[in-house]
Amino acid sequence: MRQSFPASIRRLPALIAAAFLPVLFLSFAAAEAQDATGNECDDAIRALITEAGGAADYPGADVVRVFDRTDVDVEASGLSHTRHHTLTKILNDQGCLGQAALRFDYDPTSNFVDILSVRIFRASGKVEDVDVSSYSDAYQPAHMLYWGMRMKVVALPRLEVGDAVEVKTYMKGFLIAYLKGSDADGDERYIPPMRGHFYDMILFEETIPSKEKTYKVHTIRDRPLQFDIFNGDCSCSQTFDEEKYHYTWSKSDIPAVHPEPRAPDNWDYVTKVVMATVGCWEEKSRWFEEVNRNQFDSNEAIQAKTDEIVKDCANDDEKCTALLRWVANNIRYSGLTMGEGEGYTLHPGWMIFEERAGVCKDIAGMLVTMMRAAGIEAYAAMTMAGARVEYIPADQFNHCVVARKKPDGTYGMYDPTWCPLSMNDWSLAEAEQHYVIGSPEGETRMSIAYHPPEDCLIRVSSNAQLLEDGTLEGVMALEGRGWSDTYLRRILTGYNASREVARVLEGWLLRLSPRATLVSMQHGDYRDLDTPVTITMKYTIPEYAFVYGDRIELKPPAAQLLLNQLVRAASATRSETRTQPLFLYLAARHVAEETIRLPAGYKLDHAAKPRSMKEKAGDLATSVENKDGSLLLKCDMAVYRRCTPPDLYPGLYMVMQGLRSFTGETITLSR
Amino acid sequence: MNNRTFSLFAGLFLLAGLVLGLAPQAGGAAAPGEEVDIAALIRKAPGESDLPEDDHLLLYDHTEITLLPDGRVERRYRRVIKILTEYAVDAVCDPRIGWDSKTQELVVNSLKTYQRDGTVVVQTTGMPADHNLSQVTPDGLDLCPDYMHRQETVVAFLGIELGCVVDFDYTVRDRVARKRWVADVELLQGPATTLERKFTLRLPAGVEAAWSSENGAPICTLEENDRSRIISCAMSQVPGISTESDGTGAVEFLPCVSFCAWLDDKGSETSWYSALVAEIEAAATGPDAQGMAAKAADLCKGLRNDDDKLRRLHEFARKAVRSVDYPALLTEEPARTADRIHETAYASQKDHTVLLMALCRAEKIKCFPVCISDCSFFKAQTAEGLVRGVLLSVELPQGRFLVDPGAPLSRDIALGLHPDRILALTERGHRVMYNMMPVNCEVIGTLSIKADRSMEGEMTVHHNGPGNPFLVLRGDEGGRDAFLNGLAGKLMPAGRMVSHKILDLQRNAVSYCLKAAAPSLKKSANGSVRLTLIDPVDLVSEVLPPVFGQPASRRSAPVYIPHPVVLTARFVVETPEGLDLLFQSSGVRMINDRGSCAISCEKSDGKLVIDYMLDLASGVVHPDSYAALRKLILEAGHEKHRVFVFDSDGKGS
Repeated sequence: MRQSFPASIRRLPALIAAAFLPVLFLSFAAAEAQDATGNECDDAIRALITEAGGAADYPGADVVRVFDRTDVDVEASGLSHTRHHTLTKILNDQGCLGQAALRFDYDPTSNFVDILSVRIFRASGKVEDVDVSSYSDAYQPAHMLYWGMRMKVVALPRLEVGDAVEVKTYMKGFLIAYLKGSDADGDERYIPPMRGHFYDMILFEETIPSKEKTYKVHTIRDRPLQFDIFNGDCSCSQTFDEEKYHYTWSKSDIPAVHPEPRAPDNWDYVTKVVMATVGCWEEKSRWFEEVNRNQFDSNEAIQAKTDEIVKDCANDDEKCTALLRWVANNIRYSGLTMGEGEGYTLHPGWMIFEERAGVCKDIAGMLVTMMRAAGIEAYAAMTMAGARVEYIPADQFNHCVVARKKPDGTYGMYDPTWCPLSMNDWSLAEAEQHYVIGSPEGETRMSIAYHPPEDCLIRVSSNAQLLEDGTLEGVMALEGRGWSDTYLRRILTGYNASREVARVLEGWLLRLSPRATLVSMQHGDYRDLDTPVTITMKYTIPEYAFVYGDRIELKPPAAQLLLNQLVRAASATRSETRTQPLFLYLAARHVAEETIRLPAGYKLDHAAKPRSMKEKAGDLATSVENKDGSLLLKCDMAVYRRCTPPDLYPGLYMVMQGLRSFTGETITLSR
Repeated sequence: MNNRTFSLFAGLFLLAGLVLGLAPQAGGAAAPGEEVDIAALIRKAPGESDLPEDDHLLLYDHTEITLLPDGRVERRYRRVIKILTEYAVDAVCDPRIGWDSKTQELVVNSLKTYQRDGTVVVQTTGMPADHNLSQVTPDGLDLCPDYMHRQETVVAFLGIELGCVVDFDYTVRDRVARKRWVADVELLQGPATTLERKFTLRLPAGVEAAWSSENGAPICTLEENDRSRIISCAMSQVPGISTESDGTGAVEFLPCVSFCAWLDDKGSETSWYSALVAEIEAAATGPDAQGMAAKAADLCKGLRNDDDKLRRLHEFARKAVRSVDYPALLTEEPARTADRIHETAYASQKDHTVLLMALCRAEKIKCFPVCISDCSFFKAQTAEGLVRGVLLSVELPQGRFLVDPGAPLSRDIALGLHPDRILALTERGHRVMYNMMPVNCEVIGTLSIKADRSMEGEMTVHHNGPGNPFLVLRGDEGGRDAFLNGLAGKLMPAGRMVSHKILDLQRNAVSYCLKAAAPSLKKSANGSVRLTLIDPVDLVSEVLPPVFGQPASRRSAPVYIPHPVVLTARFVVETPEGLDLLFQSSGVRMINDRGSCAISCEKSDGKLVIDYMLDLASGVVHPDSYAALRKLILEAGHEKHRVFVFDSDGKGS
């Protein structure tokens, strides 16, 4: 069981490109009143365990959190001390296995973690103390980001159903920030980089049910918190004494929440409290610019490369695009350990240029460096890929991008991490995304504009000949705009050169029929970012159509391929309703146009009637026509929103059902 | 192949597309400590346009394994890699190397990137530390304190650009002797076209060894002097291969060298096997297994026969612990005791076997561990490196059965494995034979379409041999009704099971009958109704390779058909007056070197009679005959042979 640390949002970014880590503050307070320190309190805990109920009260859950209490004390320096106290009851055999070992993550250069106690309240009534000094300490499993994060793992004695596990921990510092080196004095290494400030975000619903969740924080009188509650409700209070403000948020009987297919980050739909002592985004913006001010110095090699890249550019727009493309396609994503300041510092441009590797903030830093080398004013910016950034100026970021300041004072946004093989300067998968630019003047929270579905059009065009024996022979062409064009390029580069690409594309055809064969494949130069790429497949499918008597039956091949392979919403729209938003990253339009020349003497006998649907979340139009000895089939479907809220989802579901129906309906020909 | 999770070779099987007309050529043996002329390699290297089917190229690839006199082993890998495409940048430039931090050390001897303009980016070397050498705990072992000393080092290559060349040299070295032998297989062909491939095995003088070259690998040379014996071989111009998910193990068909060497006088080619069995025995029956012995008695209270006891014990052993999967846990970790496994609540596959063995032995059920490979143990030299599973052979009154203690008892595993993949030796070193049964499945179905177009019918299945649903029908996992209802739904459109009867239920032979009914067949827009019968091939699909979704061409790996398969089916369909047949299959008869298939459909006494027959030969199916196999299976399962179209309005032909 991995222990969240503490019961709030101190976690690593999950998105593949996300590595710009927020500065995270933790805190500590004296033991709270509920802490069990003697037999009397143990009895109280036993009573809570009993009251929590059993497996029948929580269908589908392996454990129930009896309580989850966090108490954070923030010093004037911003140094925070967090005391975390949880009690978890085992409901079934799976719960026993899941709790058999407890994992506590930490970063030795950023925080200090102490496992104070682990006790097992046996169903029999006995209480067992676990020897917490015998924990195992090792590097965490990691992919993409290799920042030396460690974990302490405590093995528990064999658990039985009805047992409960009580855990108390203490932590000070950040989850990750790579502050001072390990030789820094005392607690100095744990003081947040934005000295004196604190922020946090609490999420109440988890994937296990909880009887009670409480979060308390204490700040000094000249550092009040601003906060708000989103996506739900909880109780809250604010009191003060001579030294501190005391804030408490609490919620009871919290059901488990499991993500639905293609849900956004749970930040966007579970009850959350966002809090910060920082007064405004502009303050955060100025700080961010200041800590990274010296990271963008150029050197001779960078200047020479920059000059080479922009030498044929007519203006700054072209220079920026050229530099973005070079950085996006030449600095690979790899999260090396680079030392001090990892959490918020962009590494120097010269280092990234030499090593040609880094995470998003380093890739962004490289572009800022090169833009500045080209005489263009540019800054790093913080953003959140996959969730909203609420208006409270707490760090809610997991990604770093680039802002170019234009002569008129407006900004143009560039994302070199998400733009390899992209014709765009900004990935359309990041539309409507919030961001904060780090600038000397200070900027507020802004957001990227909406893009219409047509900007991410994907089109399958098929020209085929149906033979009298049911064989279908033809050519299918795939082409896209915006992100859809990038997607096609990634197909061409995502596999082992042409050997595997051909197998992958033939696999697409085999979903139409196991007798399909890819005769040949051609595609444009995926490295040419000025011309949309087209993938053309020449194919043959013996017995594709079912021939009997004077009839032939078939289904539209291009529309099927579109639905099977290219509609992102397809797999996530199987259920009629949702409780969570549907997050597809993109508004997109999907078009399949096919012409099937019929065998001599055959004509359309039966096909589905034309459909035309327009919902708030999407639209669909389909048609089948018999013209000049050919079948002309068309379907055109759009998803309007990057994130479809649950109330608009049923409309999108109907659109998708319409598309499924069109691709699954049999077309009958006769002569 | 242990200690080597080098991503270049992760999960690969398969065959070669010849590039630039390259054909593997035997080369000279590697000299110890040989210098590599990087400049010459770079100069001679082809570019991306020369190798349009490759994403990277190995200019030089040398594996050196050294067995030291004290039993320690060193494995050194030197690779000079040319990066050709964006895919290679992502897939090749952050290799992950597995090692044991308790008993081994990993040293990066050299890591340099040669950029196109001649710039050399020299990178961190030495022990795993920081920057581009990052240490991590393997996925899935983070909650397993007993195994967390298993570590992986991720080596990030720096200065990477398309067309660059990386020279990477590292050693995984035992700090303490763990074994007194090496027994492994070294593949000489992989996914990347390789210009020079070398393998060297160094042994102390006088140490016994056995080795063999397989699948076209060059014959190894032996050099001996007062201090050492050096066995080596080399290939050049080795074409790259593609990956294949359903193929046989790569050592089955790619050039490789298998080898065993042991320090002790009494060593044998299967020293590793004897040691593995002995440690599992000790872990399952020693003093630290007594808790589980008591548990077994408790679990089996009131049960009389060994079959029922095995079911109960297997279920306990499977569910009382969480499964963890990491290849090195099979042969590189000492067996944990049964009580320890239960206490920690997690288990590798070997742990599962120890646990079930302890429980069975306590109940006097005869059992012993066996090793499983994804290729033949006996084609090549017997090698520890081939072990992919450690299972339990259990002796019951009905016979000897192989059981996977970590998986549901859904099918009898022994029936689904080729005997050469199973390694089980008696104390005298003789192989324990598992007699493979042929698959023989006979299906008889009668269906009747009523005047209102509703249907009823029944189907009887006699299934002997592998792939039979013995354990499903016995209801071990509670899936019997779902299984039979699923068949009813396939027997006729929208069919539902009315009743069923188990006629015979033995591990190697089951017979069952189900009755089903369905509402009226749906009338289509053009006035026809359609009856689609069950695909009889579905009933034996467990023992067939998954040909759907696999192209017939571009096949690179062989597949196994472990058993001969004979499937026969007859369906008789009774139709009412006024339902005129518009379409029926004209049948097919097909014979090729993988077997035969025959389907016929006739009208007789107002009934439709459909006969199916599929007969497949067992054995390894190489890529050149894969298309024939696929064609047979596809044809036998073709929907057109199972579809009947009727004119509902009686106006048809």
